[in-house]
Amino acid sequence: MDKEANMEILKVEDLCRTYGQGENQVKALDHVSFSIEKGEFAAIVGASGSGKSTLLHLIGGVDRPTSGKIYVDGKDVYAQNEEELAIFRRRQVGLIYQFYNLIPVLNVRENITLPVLMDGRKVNEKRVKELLDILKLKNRENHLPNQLSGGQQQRVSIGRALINSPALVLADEPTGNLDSKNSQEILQLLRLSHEKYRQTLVVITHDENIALQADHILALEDGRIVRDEVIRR
Amino acid sequence: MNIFSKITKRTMLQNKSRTLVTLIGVVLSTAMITAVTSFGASLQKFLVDSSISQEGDWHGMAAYIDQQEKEQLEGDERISQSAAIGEIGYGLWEEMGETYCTPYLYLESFSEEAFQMIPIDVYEGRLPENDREILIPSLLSQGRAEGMELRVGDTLSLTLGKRLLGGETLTQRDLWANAENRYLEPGDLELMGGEETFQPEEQETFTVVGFYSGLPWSGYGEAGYSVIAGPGVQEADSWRVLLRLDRMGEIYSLRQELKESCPEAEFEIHDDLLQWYGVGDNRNLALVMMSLMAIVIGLIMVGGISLIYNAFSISLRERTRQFGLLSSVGATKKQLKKALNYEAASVCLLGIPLGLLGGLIGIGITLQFIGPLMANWIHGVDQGIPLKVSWIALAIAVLFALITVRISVWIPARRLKHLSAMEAIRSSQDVKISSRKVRSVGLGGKLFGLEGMLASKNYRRDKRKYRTTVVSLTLSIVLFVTAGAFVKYLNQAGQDVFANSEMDLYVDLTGVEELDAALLELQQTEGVEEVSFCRQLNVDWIVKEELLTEEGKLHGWERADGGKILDYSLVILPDEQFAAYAQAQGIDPEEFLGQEKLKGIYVDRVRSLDPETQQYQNRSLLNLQGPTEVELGREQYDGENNETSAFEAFFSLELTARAEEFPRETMASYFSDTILVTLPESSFGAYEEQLKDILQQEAYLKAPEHREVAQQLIDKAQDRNSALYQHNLYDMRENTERDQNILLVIRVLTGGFVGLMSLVAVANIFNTISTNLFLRRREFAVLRSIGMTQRGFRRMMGCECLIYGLRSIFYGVLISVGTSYLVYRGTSFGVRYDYSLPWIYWGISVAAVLLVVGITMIYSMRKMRGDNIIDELKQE
Repeated sequence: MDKEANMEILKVEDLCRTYGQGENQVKALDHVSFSIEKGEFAAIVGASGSGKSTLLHLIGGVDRPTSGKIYVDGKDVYAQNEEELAIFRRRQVGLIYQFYNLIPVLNVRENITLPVLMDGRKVNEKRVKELLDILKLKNRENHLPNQLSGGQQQRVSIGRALINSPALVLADEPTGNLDSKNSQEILQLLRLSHEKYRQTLVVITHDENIALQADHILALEDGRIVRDEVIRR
Repeated sequence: MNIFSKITKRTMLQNKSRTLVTLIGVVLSTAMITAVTSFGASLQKFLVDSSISQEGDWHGMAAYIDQQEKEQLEGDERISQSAAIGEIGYGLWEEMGETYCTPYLYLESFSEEAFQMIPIDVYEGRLPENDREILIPSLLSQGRAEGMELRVGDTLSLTLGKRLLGGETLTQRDLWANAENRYLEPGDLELMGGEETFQPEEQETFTVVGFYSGLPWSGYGEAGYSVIAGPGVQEADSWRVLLRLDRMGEIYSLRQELKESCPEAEFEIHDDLLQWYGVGDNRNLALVMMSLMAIVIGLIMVGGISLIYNAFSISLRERTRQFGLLSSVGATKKQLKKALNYEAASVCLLGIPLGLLGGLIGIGITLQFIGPLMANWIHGVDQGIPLKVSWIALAIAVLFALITVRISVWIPARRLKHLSAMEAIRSSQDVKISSRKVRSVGLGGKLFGLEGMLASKNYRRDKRKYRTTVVSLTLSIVLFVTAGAFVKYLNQAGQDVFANSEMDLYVDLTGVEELDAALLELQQTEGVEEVSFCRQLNVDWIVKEELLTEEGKLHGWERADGGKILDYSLVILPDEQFAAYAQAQGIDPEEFLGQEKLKGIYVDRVRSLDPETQQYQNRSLLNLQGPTEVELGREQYDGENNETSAFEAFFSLELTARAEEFPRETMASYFSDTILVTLPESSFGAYEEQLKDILQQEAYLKAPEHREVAQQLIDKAQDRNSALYQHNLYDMRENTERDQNILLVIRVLTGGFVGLMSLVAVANIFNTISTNLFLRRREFAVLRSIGMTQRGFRRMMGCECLIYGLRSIFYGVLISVGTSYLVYRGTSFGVRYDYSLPWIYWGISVAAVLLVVGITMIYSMRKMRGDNIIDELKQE
């Protein structure tokens, strides 16, 4: 295996995803292939309905492709059974949604440590403290999601995505529901985690500012890659 | 507590109403099952205790076995306990005189164990302590010549010996072979081989220590009155041994072995007791009881599963998004299932103990009211049925409750298998895009406009959500109608079986010396409002087949020389009473009174058992075209050749008019197996003298306080100075009340059951509909945001109500036709009556369904009325 392949954290091969049947069939992704290297900040851009979210969810193991392969850290994601896939989602990826998707009955700390608790492992208090500090949620540790602002909720979501130090952090329009100030803060946090923990970050965004900060741009149109450009290494 | 349990617990607390409904479902189901099993256990204990108190606590009894056979039997390993009763022998009591049926006393020595096993009702004195102390049957203390009454402490000198006939020793199985035995029919003595002799052996003196009522095995006409001596006999020619076995079922093989090894012996099994233990050949009643319990528990489980399944199904739908999120964060399907199971375990942990307690309290209170009624009906006793807290009954209740919850959770849990994290987060799973086009307007739209169209589309696109509601409603209708049909058909069967008489008491005056004095005494008895007198006569009629219906041809018996005999009951009433009866039947009495020719009013309604169907049914035997003359008399019956012989004619009688009701001066409604003809005294008078030896004389009394009056008459029957001395009394009202009581008990139990099941159904419907609505708040906000008015909204909801209300009613009515027919077949096992549709129950259930659905809708919509549109639109 050559040096370049060793540095690949994500490889997508001929990925297809269709929904529905017959005349209602929708091709969300149409033979998509690309790769992302370890430590890259990749931005996926494209118009509404271009297949960006579908691609992200497939990478995150939350959906199943119609055909094609996805390799994360050399492992075929969809060759795993349901149980292995769940553990993959728990440990290997961190998903951040536009609408936060926190568990309403769990407080901030519990939401952040959820993946660890699912593993049945003991929580690393130092790690939690560190994240709460970075995310500026130290004083909100015991608050429920409905007691937090939108920006705070998104930060909790980021904390949950980072707690297990996953290989991939996937963010689906993480600032889409936030005002500009919060958006900036969130982006800074994401950049911080990317730089500090050398995690690979893949962000779907409409925001040009975010896209310009990325190392690798992937543009989608009608389910196909129309641009695959590494800006900086 | 792991994170999934934590999430589940908090979610349950957050959704209090749904959690409460689930809890109610578990509590109600457990309570009802507990009530059924505890009721069964209590009833079983009562029946066992009653049987023991009346006939003793033994499983089998070997009688007429010798010393060796007795010792062998007692040594059998299968027997856990035995009690021996040794024969002392027959005692000839010279002073018996003509008062009693036999001059013999039959003495048996009871061991201590025998006194434990057999209930001896000592109403005066005490139990004997040795074999020279005796208990005398109570009837021997009565009716003796003045100065000859036996008292406690008296000594009896008896000549003990054997009864012999033709060289054989006679036992209690053999009647007293003597011409003075009033239980013998003419010719019996010759058949028995002549008169017996008594071989005296010794003279013994016994001390009377008390009087007792009777033994379980004693019967009328035995050669010697059973006298109980105390323990002491070690050796005897004949023994009676009572047995108890650890494994009661082995009593049958023991009986079989004894039959082979001791052919002279008799073996009796205590069937009445064993059947209540569910053992034995004659366990039909116990099986019926257990089957009924199983059916009821099954129905409860179906209702419970419906409610609890519904609640968990709703829980899963509400938590679909939550489960999807957890899945996307890395929860496995197994972990999500465990979360659902944790919810089930939590409601069980709280609900089952509450249900057990509630069930016990509920059935305890119910037994307080219906226990005495049931006990009175079963055994004629004035006592209740105490609640028995049986651990087995409780364990069964817990088991079935757990099974109910398990099944209820299992089905929704299977949906987790197909849960896709993405679809769950988007909540798009329940709405499947079908390739089949949904009509854009449809019937709903044509009838009710836009709102009807929306309601119709909602239903057709989201069928799974509504299926639960429709199923719940359908099930509720079926359960309610089936239970109602059960009460209706049971009442119908009961009306036929449990006949109701207008009069309260019956007194047999046959053979009374001074009839007028007897009737006067009855009239003057305190509490008697009316006395109706009649004579009765059973006669035979040689009938021509063309006068019989097809059913009538199956009745009666064949004559030796051809022809058929039918039997009649004649009721001869004083003219006033006859006139009143005739007028009540719409018949002119003048045609009958004081006529030379005998004319009667006949009732042709015979209740008999159909051998093919094994059902009792009312039949009409006669096919008469107008007034018909019949010749009545008595047919002699040749028992040896099993056929009839000579016919002795009494008189001719014209069957003039037919009535549908029996006269009130009869118990024919109880024993209606013959055609009844009513005649006036004035025309029958000529035959009274001729037939006086076979005419029965009866009085029927109207007495609202029938129990008190009955006691007075019982006292008079024992008073030598009374004109009613030694005449029999029967309390018909007591019997009727007992029968009516059991119908009341059934109504109460069924009503309670239906009420609770209806509660389950209402909770189910409320839960389903209200949750469906709450889950659609965003959708409703969208509609309101684009301009739908409250009125339009109400119309849309009303249309939805109609859609699943009407569907449930259609399916519910259809299915309940089948279930009500099954109930009809089940309840008409002994009595035949016609099937009829349960219209009233359909009407009630339909109205109730529409009402409950409507109220639930209104309640839910009121709660949502104040919702802010934007907040709902933003709702995740």
